[in-house]
Amino acid sequence: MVTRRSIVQGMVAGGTLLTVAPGFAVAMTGGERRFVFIFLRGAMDGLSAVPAYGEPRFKALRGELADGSPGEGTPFDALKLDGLFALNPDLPTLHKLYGAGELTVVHAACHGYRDRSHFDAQDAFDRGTVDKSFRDGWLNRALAYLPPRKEGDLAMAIGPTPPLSMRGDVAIASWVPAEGEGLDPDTIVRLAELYRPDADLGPNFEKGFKAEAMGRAMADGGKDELTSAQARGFIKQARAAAGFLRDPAGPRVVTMDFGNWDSHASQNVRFMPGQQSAGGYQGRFAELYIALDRGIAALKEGLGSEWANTAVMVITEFGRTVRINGNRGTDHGTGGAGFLLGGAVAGGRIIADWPGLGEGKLFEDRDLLTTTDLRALCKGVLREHLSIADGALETIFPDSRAVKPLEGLIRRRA
Amino acid sequence: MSIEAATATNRFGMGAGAGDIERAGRDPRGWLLGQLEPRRTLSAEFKGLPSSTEIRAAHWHRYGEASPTLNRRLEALQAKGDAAAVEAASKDVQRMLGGYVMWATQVAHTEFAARTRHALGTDRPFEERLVRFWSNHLVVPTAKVPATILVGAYEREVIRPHAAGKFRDMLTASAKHAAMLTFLDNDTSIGPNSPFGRERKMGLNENLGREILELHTMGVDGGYTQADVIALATALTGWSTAPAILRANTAYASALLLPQRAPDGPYAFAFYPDWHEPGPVKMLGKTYADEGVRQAETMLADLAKHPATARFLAQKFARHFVSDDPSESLVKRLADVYLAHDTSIGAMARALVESREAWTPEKRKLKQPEDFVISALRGVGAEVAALPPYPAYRFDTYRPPPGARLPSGDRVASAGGMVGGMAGGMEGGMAARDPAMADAAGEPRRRRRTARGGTTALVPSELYEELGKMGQKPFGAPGPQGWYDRVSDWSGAASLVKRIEWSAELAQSRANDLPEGPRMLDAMLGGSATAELRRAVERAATREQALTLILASAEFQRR
Repeated sequence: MVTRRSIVQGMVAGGTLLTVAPGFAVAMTGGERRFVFIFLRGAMDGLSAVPAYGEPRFKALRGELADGSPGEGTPFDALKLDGLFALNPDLPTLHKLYGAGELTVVHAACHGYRDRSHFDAQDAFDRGTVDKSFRDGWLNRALAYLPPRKEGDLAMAIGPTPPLSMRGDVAIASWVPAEGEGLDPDTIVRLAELYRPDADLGPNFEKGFKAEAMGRAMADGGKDELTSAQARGFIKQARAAAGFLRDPAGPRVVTMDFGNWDSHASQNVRFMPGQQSAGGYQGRFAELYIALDRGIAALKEGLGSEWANTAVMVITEFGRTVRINGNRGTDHGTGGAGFLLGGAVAGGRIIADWPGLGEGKLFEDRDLLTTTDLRALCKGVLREHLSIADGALETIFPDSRAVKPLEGLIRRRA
Repeated sequence: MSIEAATATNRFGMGAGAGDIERAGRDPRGWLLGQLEPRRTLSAEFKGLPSSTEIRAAHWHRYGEASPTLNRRLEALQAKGDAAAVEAASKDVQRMLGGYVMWATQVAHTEFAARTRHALGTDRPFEERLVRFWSNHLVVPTAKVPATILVGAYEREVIRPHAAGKFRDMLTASAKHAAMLTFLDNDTSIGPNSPFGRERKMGLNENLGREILELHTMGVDGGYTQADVIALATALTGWSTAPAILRANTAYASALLLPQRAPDGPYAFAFYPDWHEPGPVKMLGKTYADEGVRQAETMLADLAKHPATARFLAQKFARHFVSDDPSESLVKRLADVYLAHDTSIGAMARALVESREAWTPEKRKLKQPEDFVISALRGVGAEVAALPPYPAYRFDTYRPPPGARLPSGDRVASAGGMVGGMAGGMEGGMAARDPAMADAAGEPRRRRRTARGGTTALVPSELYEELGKMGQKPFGAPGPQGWYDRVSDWSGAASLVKRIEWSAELAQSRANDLPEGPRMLDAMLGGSATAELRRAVERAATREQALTLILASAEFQRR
């Protein structure tokens, strides 16, 4: 059994260890809180996102997947966080947020699920439990504890169907980026007339076309040279999400899915500036990091003054193998990395009860050991950011009494 | 115009195309009941499609065998330290993986094309609705790649033959199909006290046993216990496939392969007696002696005729066709008929058609996106292009030498040929012209339609993607519970807007080849159209707008 030591590693002064003050209280003043949940599906490689470059065995284990250490002078040096950890070179915005105290890294983390199936792991995370008899999601259960809205839905899923985390009894809005030219306004008006009498569809027709018009306006305006439609789509969705979250009548909780992180092969292929193929191709997985980074930048920019009230949780279903595999990629693993960021976040630090990469330290001699249960992060965010009471957390995450919420995640309000 | 004719085609069918409502109109109930008679011939759309055993054989050849072989070669080269050779070998592995995933997607596209073409052309649309209902009830979704290649074959082999037959037979066929066995992990479930389980210290996987009780038969509130789940899962140990692959912990490398033992022929269902947990089990108070494969067969037969199962199925069936909350009397009547007729789905369907409740003019259900798309395509008389019955595999990097004996016992005909009966006249040929393949090869995406005898047919892979954006990727149910089936599950704003925008696109491409709005309205909704919709269609500014208003209307979305 792993004993939790709950060490919070500070970024300041060469990795001084700080412990979080107990009894953190949430003050409910200032603007309404916003929460964004970004699920990186396919298993982001935690040691690529947040390399532990200070580990003696790091380069040996990672082979050509290891980026340059901070300051090493390679074309792709990792961005220094402290003496042990750095960020992927394609995450400059996240690095800036860390410096500004608005980003917390959670490392060596995974949730309660311990097998290596994407499908099962994602479902278990979304359900908030490995118990398959639950058919609704943790975030939807959490919504039930938030003050209901008079007008408009409290939460919105970006994407054609809500993820399992958002399914359940509480009604939510959903939105997908429009393509093509859309309907002409005259036809929309005529259709609206026909839809009005339909009790189920009428309200959604109006909601849908309103969101569509807003989203269209908000998603526009970005130029991205990325070749992957998925990467471009994520940035577009982030831009639109910011608009929805800023809208006084808009949602306060938004989920975004960002897929394709399953890097079994050619994980670190990058094209140097000047030798890109058409369209400025950066390499398939590099593009995902770039899009994540730019998407976060778009969220911050779009949220404007509401950024101060926002927390964004970025997680994935599990980590990947520590060692490079035969295809210059990594296979399904266990412990990984996640981020909590935003103006409301008490960041600038790394939460990791770091198990190390030394001989005999790896889980089943292949994966990063999990020492932090991500449900502790979710619970901490729900408690401190959305003011959900402790009792409710056990309903939202069944059978998780042993998993204590992380503390001190969110800034106290003045 | 009779409302009942429109109801027959829309509520019970796949939507009305030109002349459908008139055909159903003479005797709407008789028209539906006639479709419950057994079909004599296989639909032309499914002829030539490979069986699940053929697909699994190809899968084995391309992946199950190639993956460890190529990986072993790579590891050996890495040990030697020959950088150039390692580079080449790792490219081979990547091509193998990429090619495999692409091929799996193409198999799904092929099956989707065949199934959609069948739904567009069939004169037995009620039967097709039954197929899709039961396909969703005993669902195998594409969530796992090895299942992706089998979902179509599973539907053709397990669901279609029994769609109006006995549920007991469908349930047993489902639990014995490689698609279901691998999807719910029973293929590697081993009795801990069986000879093999003792030797390898392996054990039970209760996934299939649980889902049979919870989702396939009694329902979550049906009154079974965890002990019943264990009992059924125990009896199901040894129900597997040939060859069985005991997956090691890594995703792709070093699967532990078992010797080929295939009593029912290679690549099919196999019962392994030395994996089977010895001894009797007790389920729902009844003891079942250990008679090998018969043990679980008997239990499945008993579950099929359990009153809780009858109720659960009747409720779900009525919910699908009539309303989210069907009356207690209708559910009871359907359950009684099901039990009285030895688990007959056909009898239950007949009772539904003969009930009064199913014919209320009020449309209380919403078409799910795939049904909506098919009804719209039937309405405008659109066609979907056929794909070659078996997609070519153009990225092979592993080829067993000519004459080599494969695990199935088949011989490789020639280098580059495929296994057994599926040898590849397809390579190059038709597949090279398949637009989905062109995409895969990296051609820039643009809207394309293939020409077919004067009219234009829609490209299956594009329609497949469109459905994904509407929230219903074909064969892509979110889990073993299948697609949700209440109005609120499909009335969401994002999916609704997508359906409406797609309607407008379809109208734009078709309107000018079709009769004027009011006649289209008569053909598609007949007497069920409201005066408001009729007025809106009559007043439409253009033929295209009229068609958009019909297809996008709430009335057309409902049934």
